Amino acid sequence: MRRLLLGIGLLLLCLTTGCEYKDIDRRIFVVAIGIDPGEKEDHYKVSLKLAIPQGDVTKIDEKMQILTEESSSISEALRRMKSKVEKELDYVHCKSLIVGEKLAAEDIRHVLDWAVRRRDIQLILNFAVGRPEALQVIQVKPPSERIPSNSLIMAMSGQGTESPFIASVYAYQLMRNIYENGKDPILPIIEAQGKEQFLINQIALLDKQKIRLVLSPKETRLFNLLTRSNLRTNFPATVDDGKYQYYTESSSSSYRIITTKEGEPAIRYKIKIKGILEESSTQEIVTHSLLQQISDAGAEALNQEVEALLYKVRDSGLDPFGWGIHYGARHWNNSTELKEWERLYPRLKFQVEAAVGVKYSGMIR
Amino acid sequence: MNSLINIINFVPRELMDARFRGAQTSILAAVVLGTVFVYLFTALMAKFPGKDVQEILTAAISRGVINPLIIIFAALWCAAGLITILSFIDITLRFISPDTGPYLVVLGFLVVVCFCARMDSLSLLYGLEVMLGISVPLILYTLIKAVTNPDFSWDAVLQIITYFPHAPDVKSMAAATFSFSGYINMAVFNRVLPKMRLKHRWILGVQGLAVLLLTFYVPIGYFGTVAVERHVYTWFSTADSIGINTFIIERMLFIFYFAYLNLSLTSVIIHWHVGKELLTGLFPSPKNPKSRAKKWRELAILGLFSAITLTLMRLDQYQLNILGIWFLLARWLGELLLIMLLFYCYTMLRRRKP
Repeated sequence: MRRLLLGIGLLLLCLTTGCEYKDIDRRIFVVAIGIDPGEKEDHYKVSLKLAIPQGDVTKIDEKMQILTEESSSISEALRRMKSKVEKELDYVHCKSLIVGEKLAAEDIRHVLDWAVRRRDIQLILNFAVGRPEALQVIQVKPPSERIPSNSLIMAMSGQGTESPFIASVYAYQLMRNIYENGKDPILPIIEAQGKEQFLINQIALLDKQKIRLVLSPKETRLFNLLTRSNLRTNFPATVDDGKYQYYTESSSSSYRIITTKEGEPAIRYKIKIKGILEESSTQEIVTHSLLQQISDAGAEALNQEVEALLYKVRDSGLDPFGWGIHYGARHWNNSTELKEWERLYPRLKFQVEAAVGVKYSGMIR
Repeated sequence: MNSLINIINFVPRELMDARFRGAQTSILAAVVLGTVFVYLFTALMAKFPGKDVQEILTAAISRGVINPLIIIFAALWCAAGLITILSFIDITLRFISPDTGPYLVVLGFLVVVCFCARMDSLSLLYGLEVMLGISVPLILYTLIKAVTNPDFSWDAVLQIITYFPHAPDVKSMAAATFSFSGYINMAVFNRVLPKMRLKHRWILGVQGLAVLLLTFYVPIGYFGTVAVERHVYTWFSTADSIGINTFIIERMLFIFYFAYLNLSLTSVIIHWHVGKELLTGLFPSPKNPKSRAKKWRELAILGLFSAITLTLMRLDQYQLNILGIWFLLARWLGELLLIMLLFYCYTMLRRRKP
């Protein structure tokens, strides 16, 4: 029996030493994928950013390579790229996929389907729209970057910078919102500015397949304020002639869909912000009453801006906040609620109640 | 019990398919039914301390009837292991090592399973305990991470809850009761278990309900009410969607895979062990317990199971799914039959010894 066991064990060992697993120095890692529409009709221009593995961490010198290939399908382009490099392309470390703006203006579902269907591409892949082209975004190489494409990953996932203008969208979120009834997807827009800098400060609102509306940076920040908690940013407040800026230490928002006294549907947003005074244009000593005035003025300004954004979103007919599914989740008439909601949607009114509490005047009074 | 966690493979898919119809009432019904089954079965088995199903049946029913019955039951157990191992091989190939040849993976798994299934029942039970101890914390961590994610769409979950009032669906009910069917392995393990104290069996019901609801709602929170049906391995995709920022490994998938590798293999080992025990029981027991014939018999049975696995490797994804659903239904009926048989034996026993 022992001998039999030993024999089988040896046999298995012989099998496992086969070259089915490729060593790290025979692999090359794809860290970002960019997809643009090709020159020809219905063609894709796929670009890959490759990171070359390096042994010594202390002497890291960023080594990367960019491949581009055009073909009628994404997979075909990738297969063809295989013959441009000597190593095996490995996608498991790919963390961002940039869709060119032109492609996103037509249809992103094909790209999404491909990314989710591939088994070796993660579902926590960051999706974004690249401007003017995905290739240019991929080519950006900031001087602060030490690992290839790391800046893009850090900026998009929010692990590095906590910019209030960036919204990160993962592949699974995009897929969920594309198919969900009563919620529409969004995508952040990355703009390449030269070879060394990018700018991410806008959000594109999509219907189920393409970009329909692009928010300005200011609106993007308000959008993030409404969808995320504890957004770190600053908002202005004007009291008399003094211009003030307060920093949000904590923020939260919630909404309810209600029916007003006149029988009209409305959404009541409540925003709570706790802040610190960060900047003041006057030389006045900040008093308690001034702090309160700043809070009230800030809340008032915020109310108006958020309301304007909400009406703008409503008029576009999109639902990036998921009001529709929120409505459906609180009504039991499942067969009719979506139609009901479509009827209500254009007539929606918004009531924004921002409660801003500026608690400290900062380090000086 | 170990099947409780093994519902990841087919059960969620079946439940997801019925999510707009009666999945949730099915879960409730399954919890009630499953708990009743557990109560009945454990109570009946406790009446026959230290005996396995075969010994109990031979006492009351003639041999000609028992043999086919035992073969049917053994086939069910074999199928239980088979389904798990087949889907797990599929998952391994999809998510972990797409470059490795499928037959190499199968062989590796089969060798482990067959050698472990030959161990005696008591050590297997201890092994099961250790494996649960390793895996359950990892799974709990995954679940907590999953639910505390700010991107978790509670609205989608609530929306599904509003689809609650529908009549239960037979298929999803059969699928959901699978999470309770770990108890049925006591058919063989009863032999080695000390006299059972049947306390706190209601905990099984509560825990089963919690696990079923989590398996049902968490993927919906991640993939929404509509897109969830598009994923093949719903739960593995869910685990893939969870990222860990402050840990050595960034993707939750690997932790989840590791936990389920443990659990699935243990579950296959247990099922095949039971199947093997049932089948070896068919032959007259040799006088010398360590005889060569017994060893070869065991190997032949496990070899048969492995051969079936290898032939079924050819099935594609949809055929495998259909096989899984058929198995879930057949298993449910089998359990019912077994409980009825036991009850019959018990009444016979009572009548003989007034």
